[in-house]
Amino acid sequence: MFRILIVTTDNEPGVLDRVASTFRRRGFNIHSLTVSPTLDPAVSRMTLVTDLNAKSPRSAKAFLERLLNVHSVVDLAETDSLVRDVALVRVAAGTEQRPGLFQLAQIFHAEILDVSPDSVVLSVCASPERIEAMLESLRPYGLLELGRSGAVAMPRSSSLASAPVTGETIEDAVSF
Amino acid sequence: MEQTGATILWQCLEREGVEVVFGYPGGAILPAYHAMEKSSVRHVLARHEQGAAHMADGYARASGRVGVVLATSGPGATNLVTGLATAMMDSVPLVAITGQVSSTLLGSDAFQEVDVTGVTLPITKHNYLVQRPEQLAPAIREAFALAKSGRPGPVLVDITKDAQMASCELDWEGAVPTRHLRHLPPEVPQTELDKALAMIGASHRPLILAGHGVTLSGAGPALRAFAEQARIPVAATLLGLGSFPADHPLFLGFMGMHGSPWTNLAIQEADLILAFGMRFDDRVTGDPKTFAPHATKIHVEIDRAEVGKIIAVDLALQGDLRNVLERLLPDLRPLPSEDWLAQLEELKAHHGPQDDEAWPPLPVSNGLGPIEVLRIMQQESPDAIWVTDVGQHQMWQAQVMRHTLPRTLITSGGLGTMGFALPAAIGAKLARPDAEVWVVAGDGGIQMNSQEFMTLRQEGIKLNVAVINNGTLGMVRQWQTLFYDDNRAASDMLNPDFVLLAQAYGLKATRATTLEAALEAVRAARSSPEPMLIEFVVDPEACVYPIIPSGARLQDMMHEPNLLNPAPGRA
Repeated sequence: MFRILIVTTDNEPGVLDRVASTFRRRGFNIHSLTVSPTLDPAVSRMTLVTDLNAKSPRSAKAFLERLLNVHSVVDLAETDSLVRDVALVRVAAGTEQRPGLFQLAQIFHAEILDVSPDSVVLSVCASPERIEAMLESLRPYGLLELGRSGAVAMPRSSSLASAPVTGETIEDAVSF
Repeated sequence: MEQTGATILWQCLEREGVEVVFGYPGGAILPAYHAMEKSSVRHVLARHEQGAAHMADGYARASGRVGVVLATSGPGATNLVTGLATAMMDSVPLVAITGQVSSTLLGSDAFQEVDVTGVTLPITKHNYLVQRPEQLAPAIREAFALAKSGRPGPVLVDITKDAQMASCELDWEGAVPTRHLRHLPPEVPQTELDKALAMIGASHRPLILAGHGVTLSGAGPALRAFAEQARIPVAATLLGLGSFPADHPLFLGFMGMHGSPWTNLAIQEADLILAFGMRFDDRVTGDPKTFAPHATKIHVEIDRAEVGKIIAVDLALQGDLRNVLERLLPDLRPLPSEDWLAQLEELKAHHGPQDDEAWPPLPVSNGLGPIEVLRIMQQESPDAIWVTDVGQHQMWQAQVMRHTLPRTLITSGGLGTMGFALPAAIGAKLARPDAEVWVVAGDGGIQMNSQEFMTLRQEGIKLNVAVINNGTLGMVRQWQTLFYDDNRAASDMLNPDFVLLAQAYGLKATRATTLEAALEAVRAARSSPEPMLIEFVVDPEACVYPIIPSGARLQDMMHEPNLLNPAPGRA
C-alpha cells in the first residue's frame, strides 16, 4: 500500500540524502519523490510516496521528524488529500490510429505535445489513478515510453496538524 | 577583528566551555593544530583516532558534558566511525571535528579525501560541511546545542582546510542556534499525566524499568522519590545501572538477556510496566511478542521515534524524564504493593542468597573464577568508576557489582564495541580526576585499543586495568558452546604476555592466578601512584548465566548447569 508523506525541510545541501537515508537503512522503498522550494525559498517541500508494506508508517514519520533539517512530516493517509502527477507518454500511432487516439486524449484531458509519422507524445496532469486508467486505455496502441513526475500533493483542508502517537510496531523484528 | 577560521574554532570551543579535546593531528587539520597554542583547551594525544573518539565518549559519560574529538581528513575521520556509532547508539553527547581537503578540491579524490559527512550521516545526529570561516561559529554552536539537547548524540563538523585558513570576524551572538529547538517536545499535557496517575493507581504489581535516560536527564533523585513514594520496585537496563541505588530495598536488579532471574520473571508477572528512558532493546525484551504479557505499559521517552518501535505501549509521555517525574510526584499515592514486593522477595530467595559472602565459589575447570575476581574488585573498590569492555566480563560485572551512583558504570551497551574500555576510561579519568577508575576488559578487547596505554603514560593518568584473560573470545565461545554445537571456530586466541606488554608501555603490571594473588594485586594497584595492569588468568570454560537465548521469552532463561539451587520450574 502506498503512503504519501509531505516533508518540509530546510533548503540546503544534503537534506535529500538524509531523508533518503532514513528510508534506505530500514529497507523502505521510495516509490516517487518530488522536491521543490516552497513560498519561503529557505524551505523545501518533498512529496514522498513510499511502499511501506508491513513496516510502520508511524515509525517512518517519527524517524524523519528526528532529522534536524526536517520541519514537519504529514502523512496524507490521515487526511483527505489532493494528488497530481504529470505523465509524458509516447504512443505508437500511424495516420490511421490518430483519430481514435486524439479522442482518448480529449477524454483524459491530455495534451498532444508532438506528432511523428509513427508515434504521438501525450502529456497529462491528473491523479495517479487517472493516469493509470489512461495508460490502460492507450496500451492497445502500443506504449513506447513513459516519463512521470511523481506525485505532488497537499491536504484538502489547510490544516497540517499531525495525528497523535499510536502503538504501531515494526512487525517481525529480526533477532540474531 | 578578522581572525582565521582555525582561531575562531578554538574560541568557539572555549566559549562552549570545553576544557579538553582528544585528538590526532594530520594534514587537513594542521591549521587548527597550529592555532591551538593560543587556546586554553587541553589536548590529549591519542594513539589512534578510534581511541580519541572513545576517550571523548568516556569523558562525556563520566561528566555529563559534551566530549570533543579532533581528527584529520580521510583515514583520520574514518577511524572515528566506530566511536561515533558507539556514541550514537548510547545517546552520548559528542562533537567530532574533522579536517577536510580544501573546498576547491572537494569531490576530486584529493589526497586523504573522504566524503566524511556522507560516511557519518547515519551515525551522527547531524553533521556539517564547513567551507567558509563565516560558517564555523554557527556550525559549532548548533553542534553543541544539538549534541546535548533532546536525546543526546554525536554531531560531526567537517571543516575544509581553506575554511580554517581564511579569515573573518567572529560573530558569536549572530550564531545563536535555534533550529534544534523545533525538535524539543512540548511539555507533556497535564491530562496525559493524569492518565498515567490513574493507570499507576490501578496497579497491584507495578515495576519500573530504568534506562540510560534516567542518568541523561538527571532524573536519579526524582526516580528514587517516585519509587519510594509509590512503593514500586525498580529494574535496570545495562545503561540504567547506577541510576537507582543498587543497595536500595526497592532495587530489583539487572534485566534482560543476562539479567537476574527474579527481575525477568517480575517483568513477566507485572501488571504495570513504567518504562523510563529506555528503548526496549532486543537484549532487554527477548521475544517482544511475549514481553510483559500482563502489563499495562507506560513509556516516558524523549525520542518519539522510540515510542511503539518495538513494544506497543498503552500510554506514551514524550518529554524529559526528570520533568515528567517531578510533575507526577505531587499526585502520586502509595500503591498497595506489599503482596507484590513480598512475592518478589520470595522469588529472589528462591534463587539463592543475595549476600555475596554467602555464595560458594562456582566450580571452575581451570584458573580463577571470573565472578570471584569481580567480587574482590567490588569489595576493595566499592566507589570506583568501572569502565567495561564488551563480552562475558561486561555481563558478569553488571551482575556482580553494586552500582549505587549514576555515571559509575561506563560501557558500550547498544553497539557492543570491543576496545572501548581503555580509551573510554582515559576520558572518564580526565572528567573525574578525583575518582578511582578501573578498566575491566577481556583479553580480546584490550588488544583492540592497547596502543592507548601510551596515552596514559604521556598524559600522566592514573587508572588501573583488569584484564580478565580466559584465552578465548569468551562470549563468542559461549554462544558456540550453547548454540553452535560447541564448534569453536576462530574464538581461541594466542595472546601476548600482557604483563610484558604493559611494562613496555611503562605501566606496572602483574599476573594473578589465585584468589589470594588477585586480592593482593588489586590492593597493590589501588595503592600505586602509577597506572597498573593486572592480568587475571581465569577459567576458559566459564559461561555467563543465566542467559535468555536470542529471541526467546524472558522466562525461558538457561541456568548454570552446575548450580545446586537452579531456577524454580516456572518456565
